[in-house]
Amino acid sequence: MKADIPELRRQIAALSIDEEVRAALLKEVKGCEKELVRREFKINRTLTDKGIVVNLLKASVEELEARKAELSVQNQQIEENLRHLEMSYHELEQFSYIASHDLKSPLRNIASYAQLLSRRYKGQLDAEADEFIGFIVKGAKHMDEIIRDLLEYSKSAKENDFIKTDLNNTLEVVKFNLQQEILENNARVEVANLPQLSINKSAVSQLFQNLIGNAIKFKGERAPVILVSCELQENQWLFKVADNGVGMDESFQEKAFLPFQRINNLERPGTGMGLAICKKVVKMHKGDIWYESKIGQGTTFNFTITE
Amino acid sequence: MFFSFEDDSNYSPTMQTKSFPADSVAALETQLNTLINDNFKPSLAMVFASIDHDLTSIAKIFDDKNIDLFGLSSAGEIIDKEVVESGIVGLLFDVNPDFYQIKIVENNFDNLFETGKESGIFSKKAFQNPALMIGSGGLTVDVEQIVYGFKSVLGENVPMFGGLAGDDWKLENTYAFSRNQMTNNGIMTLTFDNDKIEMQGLAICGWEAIGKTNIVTKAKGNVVYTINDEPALDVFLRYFEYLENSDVDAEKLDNASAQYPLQVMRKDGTSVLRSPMKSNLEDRSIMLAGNITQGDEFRFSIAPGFQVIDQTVAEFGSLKKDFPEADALILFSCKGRHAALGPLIEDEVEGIYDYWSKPMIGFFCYGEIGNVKGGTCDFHNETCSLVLLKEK
Repeated sequence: MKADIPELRRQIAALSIDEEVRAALLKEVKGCEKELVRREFKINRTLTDKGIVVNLLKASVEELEARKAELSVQNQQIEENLRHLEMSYHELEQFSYIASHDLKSPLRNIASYAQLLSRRYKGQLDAEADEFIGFIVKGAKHMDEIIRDLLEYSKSAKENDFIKTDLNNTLEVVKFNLQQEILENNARVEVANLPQLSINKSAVSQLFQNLIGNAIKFKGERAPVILVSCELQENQWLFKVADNGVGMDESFQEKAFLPFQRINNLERPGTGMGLAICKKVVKMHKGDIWYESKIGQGTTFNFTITE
Repeated sequence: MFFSFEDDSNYSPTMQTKSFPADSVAALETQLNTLINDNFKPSLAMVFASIDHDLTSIAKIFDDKNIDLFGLSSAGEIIDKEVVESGIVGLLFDVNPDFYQIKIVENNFDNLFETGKESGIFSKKAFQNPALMIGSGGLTVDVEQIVYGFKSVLGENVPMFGGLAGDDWKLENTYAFSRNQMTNNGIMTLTFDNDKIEMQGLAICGWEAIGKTNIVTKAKGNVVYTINDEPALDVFLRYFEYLENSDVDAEKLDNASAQYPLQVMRKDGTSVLRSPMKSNLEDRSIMLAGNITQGDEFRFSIAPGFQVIDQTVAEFGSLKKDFPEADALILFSCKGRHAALGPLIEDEVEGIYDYWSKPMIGFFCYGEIGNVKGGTCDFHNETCSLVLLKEK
């Protein structure tokens, strides 16, 4: 097309026309030529850009595909690790259950015979022997508590039957179970209106029982007051169990929920399994648990449950 | 006998300006002789000239006429609303010479920051409120460091605009020249008294990033040796493989390479463009029109569609709203922009000129100094940097 312009000029030059008309025609041709140059440039640049964009995007796509393949391998590895972990965890739970169950029988023998020794031979041996027998009885009793809690801990993960439960009723049962502690400590447990949720009923009962039991156990100088409340937050229920007890150091946020960890006064009874069981129950319900506390003023345990 | 002191100054009471083109040194002299008369006696000139012309002779003409000169070699010239190639364009100022000062500082390659600092100290001493027009001669100059040097003395708010001289894409030598000094390794500063001559301006880009993020794994100054641990030239050619398929000079990366600059991401979230200028076939490195730091992350970018012309012109419209009057316009437009927009660059030039319709010259340069909208002065590539001058 561009090559036709000189020919056009020649033809205009050869025409027998008025010079003004010829000049006007040549001006038009010049305008056309300029426009052609511009259009040709646009087309060429568009074609070049197209090739380059394809190259750049191709490189990006190749890199994304390589990354995708890498991620796929990593995902497979993660899934494999997860499977191994689940198996190990399951085996550990079984071991924990079997071990604690099997330990109960010999322990019962030790405790029984130690108590028999104590009853039959008290005062016949020297004072030191009586004291040693006392230590054996006390130790056996404590070990029995630990085994019981361990059994509870491993049991809580085995029960996966979720049923629609009115938590108001659950709390009534918990209060009944803790009736003696409540009376002995002159405690007051106030429960707000709770929802009906699909939960593992016995596990959640255990959760509330442990938290309320702890609140009473770690009371301050005042009579214990425990408030249980909840609210719906997006797709989770947030529960709060607040007390006016001695409080606990917030820096133990992680440690407090590990098995056999005793954060507060070690002279108070306990095995350090209570909060670990709570965490396990909460995890079973796809939730989380944490606490807020002020020493001397009380502690609020927060946990979420996803229905 | 009584003597009276007469005002012996020859300049006009208010600044007057005239722009002119010339296609030869002789034509330039003829133009000057025509333009200079009793009513127009310039004290200052700006000249942008192709290196096809004898720059020393150009400087001498102005020196002979006692006209101060801010001259730069170019890679295409702009005169009012037209674009010319291999030409000379000039802008004459009939202005009080007390309102400006010119200085050339040779680059201290060991410390380019100091070069900028030294020039900045000169400008600060010259006027309480200076405004700077900066021209750089030399291809391997880390102008960013020079700009930092200027700013270390003058702060962030002093108006500073300018460009890197060109050489019609020969990529051999570029020059800055005054009436009696010339450098291919230095910085020329034309400092105006901003209390007398107001300087305003804006640099506009429009290039868009494309493709994945790359890392500069080895670089020094404005030379990139490796990208993602691969020789820089190989990476460049792989993406821009058409270069290998066409009859081009790989060493110069073809003029088109400037259309596809590296968009370097800075840690503060901003980005600057760095155009590849030429390559070294032996060590497979690429020289950029600006410095880059080892470890910098970048994406290649692609020249915008032709709609960018309308967008750029519209953005300069906002400058017109804020600064409706000007005595002269100076345009520093990147050579890469010229390559990307081809003959359509004239539409951009014409659109800008039409806002003020005052004498305007400019040239296609190898890097621009100026403020992008909302930013402070920086060194750029691929921008169109406009400067307005107005006597107060």
